[in-house]
Amino acid sequence: MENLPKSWKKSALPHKFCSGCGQALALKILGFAIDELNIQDKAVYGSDIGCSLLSWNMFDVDTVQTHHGRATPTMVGLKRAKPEVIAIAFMGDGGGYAIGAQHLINSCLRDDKITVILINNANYAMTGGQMAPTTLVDEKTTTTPAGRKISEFGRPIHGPEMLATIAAPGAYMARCTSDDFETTKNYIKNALVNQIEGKGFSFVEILSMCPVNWKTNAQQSIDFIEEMKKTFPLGEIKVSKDVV
Amino acid sequence: MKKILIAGEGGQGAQSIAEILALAAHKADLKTSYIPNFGVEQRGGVSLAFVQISNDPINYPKFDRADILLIMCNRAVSVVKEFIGENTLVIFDGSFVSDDKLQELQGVVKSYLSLPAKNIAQEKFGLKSTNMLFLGAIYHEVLEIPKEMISTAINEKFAAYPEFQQNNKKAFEAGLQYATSKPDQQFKGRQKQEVKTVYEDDQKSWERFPQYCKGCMLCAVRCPKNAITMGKDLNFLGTQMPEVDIEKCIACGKCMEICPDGAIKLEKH
Amino acid sequence: MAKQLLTGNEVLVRGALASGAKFLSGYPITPTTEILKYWADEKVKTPELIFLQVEDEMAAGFAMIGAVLAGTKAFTASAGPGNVLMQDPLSMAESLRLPTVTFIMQRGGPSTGTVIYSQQEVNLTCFGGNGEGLRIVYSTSNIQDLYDYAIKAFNTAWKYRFPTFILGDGYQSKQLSQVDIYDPTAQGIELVDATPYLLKPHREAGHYVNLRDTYNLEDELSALILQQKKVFDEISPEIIEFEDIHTLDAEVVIFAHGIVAAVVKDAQEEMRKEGLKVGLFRPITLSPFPRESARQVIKNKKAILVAESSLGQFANLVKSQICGDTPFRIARIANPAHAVSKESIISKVKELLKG
Repeated sequence: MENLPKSWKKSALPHKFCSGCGQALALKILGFAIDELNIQDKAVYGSDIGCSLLSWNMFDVDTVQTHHGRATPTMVGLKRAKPEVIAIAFMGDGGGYAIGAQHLINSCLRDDKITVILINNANYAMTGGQMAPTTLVDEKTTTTPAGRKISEFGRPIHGPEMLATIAAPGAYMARCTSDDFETTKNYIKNALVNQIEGKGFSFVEILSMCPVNWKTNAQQSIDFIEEMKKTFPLGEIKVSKDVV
Repeated sequence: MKKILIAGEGGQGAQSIAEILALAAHKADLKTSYIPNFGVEQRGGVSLAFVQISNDPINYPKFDRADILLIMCNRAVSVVKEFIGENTLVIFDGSFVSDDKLQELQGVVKSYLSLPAKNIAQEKFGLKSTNMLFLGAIYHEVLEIPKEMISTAINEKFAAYPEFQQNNKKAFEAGLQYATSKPDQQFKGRQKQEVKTVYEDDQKSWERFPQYCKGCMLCAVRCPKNAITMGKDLNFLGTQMPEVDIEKCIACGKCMEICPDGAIKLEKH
Repeated sequence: MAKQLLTGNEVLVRGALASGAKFLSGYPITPTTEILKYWADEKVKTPELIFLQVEDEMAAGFAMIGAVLAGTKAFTASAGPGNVLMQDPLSMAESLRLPTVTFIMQRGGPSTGTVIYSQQEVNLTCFGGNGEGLRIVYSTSNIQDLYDYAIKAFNTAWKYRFPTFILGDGYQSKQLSQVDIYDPTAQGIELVDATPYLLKPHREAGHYVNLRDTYNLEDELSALILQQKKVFDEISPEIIEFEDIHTLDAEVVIFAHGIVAAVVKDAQEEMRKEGLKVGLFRPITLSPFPRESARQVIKNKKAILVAESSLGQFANLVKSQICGDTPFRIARIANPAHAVSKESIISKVKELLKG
């Protein structure tokens, strides 16, 4: 095994993600998935804003950094124009579940053959730790200093579960944690293979550590992921049924 | 009027120094302005702080030349060059800023203070208080602010972490002392250090990459045999790197898997 | 070749097809909704065409960007509140200098306004988003223009690589009239090829493209914009178009664009018959603006009259371009969201000539 994926651009290292960042870990795992599926020259990676924009030159893969919430429609247009491309839309919980929610939902509804990877760290990290749609109940953020109250802001969103209710038979939806290397790699590969085989829309949510905004050290970050699992169950929420 | 420019890596606390200075100046009934200037990254990337302290009204938050310029990291050097004038006092961390980077300013810097803040902090106060040493050195040039105001400002800034207040004030005093006595002054930065990167035995080799490691210690948390501990050597960010007890290591590779930076490579022989 | 009887919206679709466009993403909004319909109908006949009715105009713009990045001639169409939402993707297109083609058929604003007509989207189309207006905007005046400039828009976009627009209006969209739908190559018009930005077919091994529109500190972005502006200024002489009708001996010159220029032509014909010395300067490209020609045309004139269906968006544009060269009066007809009538033009000009 290698320490770095072949599909990562070595000249762009060290990357700009914070020390201990779960998103960087997820991107490393994505890189290995791209290597193992041998799609480095067939993939296009579209990132959102927020911390995901730091990955703009992380890959030796053609990439485009788009606007907040708009990685999904950009990859949709690209995929429709060039169906042989493996289109990967990468975003955070804000880009996916807030400003870009309608794009996620409609893309899933259309069963666009793209792969969406969404980082869930329960806050808006790049801008300093505001509440996100996935912020846990009672979790303190800069915009919920007394903790997220259900009466004020509702409950955290369950993205893959929500999408599964409108997904087509060939769609794939899963949730994992970025500190579980093997499972995350498997789920990402399953999602990409779902696209490669033309089966349907594929989506992986990855619970990721955010030590800077969570104000946690390494052990505490892992502990918080454990806490998040109580709200966000792991597993393959929807697998592809044989498409006629 | 004092124009102070502070430049560091995101996460080194440049903005904290600026906030404390501005707060203290305000409490001392001086006019003050502070504006941060940095790019998108939360961590990493150059973080600048423009601080002005004056008896007269301050119109504009930025300035062309600094009276006091603090350089805390390598990446800041090329960014701050344009702010150095004939009368600028350049304060730099001689124990962290690389010599080859520092020499880019050779001939441009007319007066300087070399303060090995990282070394002193690592020894006496903890690396997190490095920036407080620098606060002390800057304060040496802004004595129009009564010292109690700085003390109050430090307390306010760290109100949520009372356990750090005392320590930070001590670090501040140490920095001020150093700027007063000015020992060992040379326009020299850190030489390239040879750091042990490979740990091995007959079965395996465990390699760490200082140019990638950010010191998060996820590897230590994940190691099933507690073979990984925080070492003394510093990585490119100036934080401590993990080291391994190769005899305890069972070559499971979990450390390599969980490293977000690809900074550990395990090879079985 | 015999002319065909078509609506403006249909003509735009024919123009796109004649240019080799393959991709439309859009959202229904009056008065451009039929563009989606005609394209969808066309796709039934020609399955290789790509049609995406998406969830909103932001998705439409970004999907168009995705297609452009893939090297496909792509376009979208919108108006009014849809044009407002379009500015998000169009800002990205500006930043990356992408050859997007957008048909804007103006309607009354602000907000939902009317679904009918205006010239109130000049600011938005020329300067919308948070950019600096490095866009190419053709203001069409009649149904033949829609066809001619649709073809020109795709060629200009893919040749010069700036977001390109047709700025029409609701009257032009809905008008049913006769138009010459010719084969451009038969007329000697060469179609510019589309080339991909990502996954280029003959790229060097190991060479990957990473596109971004975010920069870290001020200098990087400033330098980029200045460089883009330099290119824009260099190519402007090749792109600028205008109509100059009887301005040489005119005492009063009327500045008008789009369909208002058409009614001015009617007014002008009538006035000339009466012996009144009046001319028309019609910029066809609002951006880049035919500034040098405009400055020549206004020399030694008694007055100029700017007429538009807006409070002053076109007038502001004109004034900014000719400023310094106007020691005399600039009169105005400003009808926000309302047509400009021939009578109002004639009576205003007569007033100016008197005194």
